[in-house]
Amino acid sequence: MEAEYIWKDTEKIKKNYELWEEFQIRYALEKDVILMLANDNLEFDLGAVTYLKTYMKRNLKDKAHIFYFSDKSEKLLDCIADDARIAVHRIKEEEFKSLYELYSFYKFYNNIFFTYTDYPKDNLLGRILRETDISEREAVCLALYKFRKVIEVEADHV
Amino acid sequence: MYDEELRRVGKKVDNLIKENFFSKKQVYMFGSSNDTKQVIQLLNERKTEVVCVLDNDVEQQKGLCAGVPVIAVPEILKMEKERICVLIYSVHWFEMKNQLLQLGIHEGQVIVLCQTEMDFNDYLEEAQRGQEIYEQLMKEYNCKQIFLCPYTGTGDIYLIGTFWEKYLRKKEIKDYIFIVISGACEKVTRLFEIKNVVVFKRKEDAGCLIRYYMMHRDSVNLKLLNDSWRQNHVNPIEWLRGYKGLDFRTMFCRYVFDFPANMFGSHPDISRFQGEVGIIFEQNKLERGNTVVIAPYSNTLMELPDAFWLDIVDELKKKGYVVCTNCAGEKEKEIEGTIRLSLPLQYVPQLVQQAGFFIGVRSGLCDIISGTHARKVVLYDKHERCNNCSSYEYFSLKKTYLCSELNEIEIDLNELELVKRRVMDLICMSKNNECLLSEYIDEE
Repeated sequence: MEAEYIWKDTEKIKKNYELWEEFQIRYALEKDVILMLANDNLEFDLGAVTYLKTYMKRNLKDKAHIFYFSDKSEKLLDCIADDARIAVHRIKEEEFKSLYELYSFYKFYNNIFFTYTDYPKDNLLGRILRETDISEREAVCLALYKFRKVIEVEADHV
Repeated sequence: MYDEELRRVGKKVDNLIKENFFSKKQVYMFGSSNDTKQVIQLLNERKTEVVCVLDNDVEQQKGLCAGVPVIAVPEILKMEKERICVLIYSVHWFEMKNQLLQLGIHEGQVIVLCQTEMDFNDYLEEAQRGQEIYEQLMKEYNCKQIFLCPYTGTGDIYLIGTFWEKYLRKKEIKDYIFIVISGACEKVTRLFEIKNVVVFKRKEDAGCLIRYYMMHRDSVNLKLLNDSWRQNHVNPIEWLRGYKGLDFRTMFCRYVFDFPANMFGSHPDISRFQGEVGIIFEQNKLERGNTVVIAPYSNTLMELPDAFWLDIVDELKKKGYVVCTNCAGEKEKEIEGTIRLSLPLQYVPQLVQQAGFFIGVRSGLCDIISGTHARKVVLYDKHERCNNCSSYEYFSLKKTYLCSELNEIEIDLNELELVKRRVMDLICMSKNNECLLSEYIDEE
């Protein structure tokens, strides 16, 4: 995926921060879990969606939001389609990337998960996935949701 | 957690102690992790004992965390409820706290030590301070590349040193600044051909520099010499450490230096320290090839009871060995009956080489002496976990450096008698003793 990120000046970061503040109001984000599907690695994204309910259960969260910007991501959302606890929002790619630019500088929320695997350049998860026999599912359990072990998805979470 | 954060947590703990918060309380921590280990250590330094670590993971419940037993969370209810106090340092603090409240623990009994609210303006201020530091360094050294080691782990610096020359050659880097945050780390760099080493006196400056870098990743020429530094949170691979063979060496080799997985570093030439160490031998009446250097201290792994070391020392002396304890700073006391040695780290490999024998708990010092021709026995806590594997699997010196004359033992604290016998057997193989002495003479 082509990615031209501009990690630039303070003003831009500040604008991105304002966007995050606006987002919280626009989507009524309380202390909910937020999953941001980056469309970098679809299998990883699928794992993130599949294990979302497990994360919610383990962390006593009642509500989650999934944000995405591409058609490809939309196809991954079948497994949570009937779950009223999970709200799904399609947003503009620019907004999505602006939030990640901000997040790369300032971790503004503990329960937000971006599924980028290769961006920015310091993110080496993609290399691990390509160069070792660690699977996307394992990476989701250990590196994204930090379950500390690879677990099976519970039947009602599939 | 990085040093500045550790300092902040230390202050918070100090305030709790001042308020007598821990008085007559049984202190627990929630979550077996490296961060928890650091907090336990910090509490130990302040004479505050952690009774148990709570964890929901059944696997973790079998083991220890910094020597403290890990138990299931509901087990806490068996304790005297009013005396319970739980400390949390985890990204999952909110959920952990909720779980405790649901079990009937009062809010006032749960202390969250990590920063729960992050102030955007603080980040900006840090980045601005980082910019000032960056520009000043660039101006002073007139070079284009900064390498930063924002941690105090001397073993990490040693491992970096073993790869350093090859890395610079591969990347065709000639001019650079190499930043460390402790005098001990700086001493380790002296073993290698590492130039322009800067020691940050204010450890928090490293955090500011990283923050500045995080704002301008493409234009700031800074490389963090770590596979996955928590502050730079967009790289989550630290959570994969120890999984499917991703050990200490592999993580640095592959994901710091971009070398092939089968590449090993090179130990430094320590012969240039022979003169200074010779004087130390004379001054302390040490015997070449017949001295055992004991290193009982470790910052992050277990420490063994004094009685264990006293017995070992006693037996070694009966067998005619000279025994000394390597101590770093005033805090570390020598084992009774041994000669106290407190040398700058760059001399220690030559000291161990000439001594002939080394027994130590796995620590950064073990990396530093790993290349010596001495008989080495390194001890690991069998139950100590490090990320996704045991401490031994992650930090094994054999796997890291392909060491010779090294014995690594995973020990169970309930079987110390057995361990003592094994250690003595390994040290006292007289044939090896002669062999080591002859190697030393050959080198001279």
